[in-house]
Amino acid sequence: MQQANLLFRQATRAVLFSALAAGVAGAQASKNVPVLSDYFAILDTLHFLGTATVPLFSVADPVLTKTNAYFADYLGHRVLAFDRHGKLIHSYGARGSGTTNLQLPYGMLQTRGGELIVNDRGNQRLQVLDTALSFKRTIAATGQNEQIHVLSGAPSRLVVQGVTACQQPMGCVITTLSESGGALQVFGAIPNDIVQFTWRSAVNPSNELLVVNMIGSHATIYADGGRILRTFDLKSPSMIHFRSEPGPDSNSSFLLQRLKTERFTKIQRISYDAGHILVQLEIVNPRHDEPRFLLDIYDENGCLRVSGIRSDGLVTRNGAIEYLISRNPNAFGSIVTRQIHLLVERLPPTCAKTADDSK
Amino acid sequence: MSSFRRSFLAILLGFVAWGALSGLRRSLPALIGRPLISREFDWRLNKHKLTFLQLGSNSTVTVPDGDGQHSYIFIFFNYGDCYAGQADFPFWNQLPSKFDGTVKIIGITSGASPEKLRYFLDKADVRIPILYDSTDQVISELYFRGVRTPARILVDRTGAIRSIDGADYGQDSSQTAYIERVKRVLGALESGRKASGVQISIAQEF
Repeated sequence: MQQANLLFRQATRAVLFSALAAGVAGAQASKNVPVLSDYFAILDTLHFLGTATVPLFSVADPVLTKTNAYFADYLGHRVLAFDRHGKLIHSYGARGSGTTNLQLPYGMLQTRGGELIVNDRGNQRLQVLDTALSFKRTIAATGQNEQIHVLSGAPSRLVVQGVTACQQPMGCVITTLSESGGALQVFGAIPNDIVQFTWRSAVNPSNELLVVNMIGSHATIYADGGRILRTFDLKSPSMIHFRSEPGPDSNSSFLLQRLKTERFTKIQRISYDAGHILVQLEIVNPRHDEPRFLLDIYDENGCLRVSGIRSDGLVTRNGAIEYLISRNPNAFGSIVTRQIHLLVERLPPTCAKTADDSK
Repeated sequence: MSSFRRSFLAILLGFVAWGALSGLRRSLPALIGRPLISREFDWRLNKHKLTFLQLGSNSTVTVPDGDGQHSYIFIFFNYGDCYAGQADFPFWNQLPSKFDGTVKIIGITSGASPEKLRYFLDKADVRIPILYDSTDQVISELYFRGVRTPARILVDRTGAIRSIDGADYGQDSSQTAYIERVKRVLGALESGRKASGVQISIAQEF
């Protein structure tokens, strides 16, 4: 009996010691992992809760204004407007191809004039709405488009970046449109690059367009007009690449590598803030045993300033909003948006080590 | 390292790479004529009275009514942000009426939650029976075999895969051609011709 007691005491001590050691190690580890508030001012947080009639599990990047939040609900084929307290105030659209119908609306933005532009992907057009979600006009935009941007300066112009990876032929095409409709320029066709994934893009205040492939390892910056200004590598230690060689056999190469690679990184979003490039990474990991979202910060010359910042959700465009889509606490989705702003003075003065430097 | 060793190593690596690539290319045609490989999966979404299909644990498709008279077209799709599959929904809805009741059409999808799938189905007017692969195993298995969604897999009444096709992006001409091809393949099988003699095209080849 005494022996059993002794054993029990020893086991308890061992468990307590292990727990303490694990706690200290965990605290030390989490202390070293940069988090969003280390480099960003967090200005505003809003909460939106989905319901059975208005679920929020299929919305694209939000548009936040001083009074409202707008979401394109791509599975619901409609656009939703909420007030800042999370109350639904307007809904626009239903599935179809008619004038005021939508099909797979995938993202929206607000112009400087205050109009909302919806990427009506399935109907291959843009729809222009006012802030009360009343229809104003459509703009033709061929293809399953991925992202839209507004260029600065007059006359007003839009940039549409497509096509998505699920459409043939795949690759990236960029079209500049007048706001009244009509293509002004088409450039950026990359038919022989990695074809299996969609492209992401962002526009800076000088109208330079940054484009990356979601699984790519380099960024291309185009001048307004389509000339390539520069390219740079995206090789931060946060990225887990698998190589898929460009060329006619790139699909086979992709699939072969995909078979071998369990974990890899997708570039989910890129955006500009305070003269820097924010690269939002998502770690694809079937075991889900590591952080899902990491953020890297580059300067506009491609120098990596910080890598591996943990974020709860996606950091995306429109003034650098972080938003989190979560199915908790109910089954119909909930969204938390946080407006954030990069604090440049907190960035390290020199370039960080890239993955190549670490080798 | 001597040049002889380097050459030997290069040749060895070349063989390994060649073997791996060949294996990948062979994987799709290798599915033809085989049973539809599937594991137990959860098809709790019962919107369309899915009482006629069970997936047995012996990796073959079995039909509970046991008549052995029906072939199947399984449509594997993702319902996320891609319009390619959605453009074909009206076509899928028409398919059951194109084969005089001899071919049953079943959609199989996975995704985040049954609620999200139900929301999608309600909004998208999908009228074929849908199975929900809650474990993502069936679609993952096909994906790793080089079949991208949306994919239509024709399974004859013996449970063997006869063709794999991709999306038609809503194009009438290729949809009509697909129906004719299915009729031709099944007709040839019924008239006793060897399966190997049937021209089967794989529209979505990698």
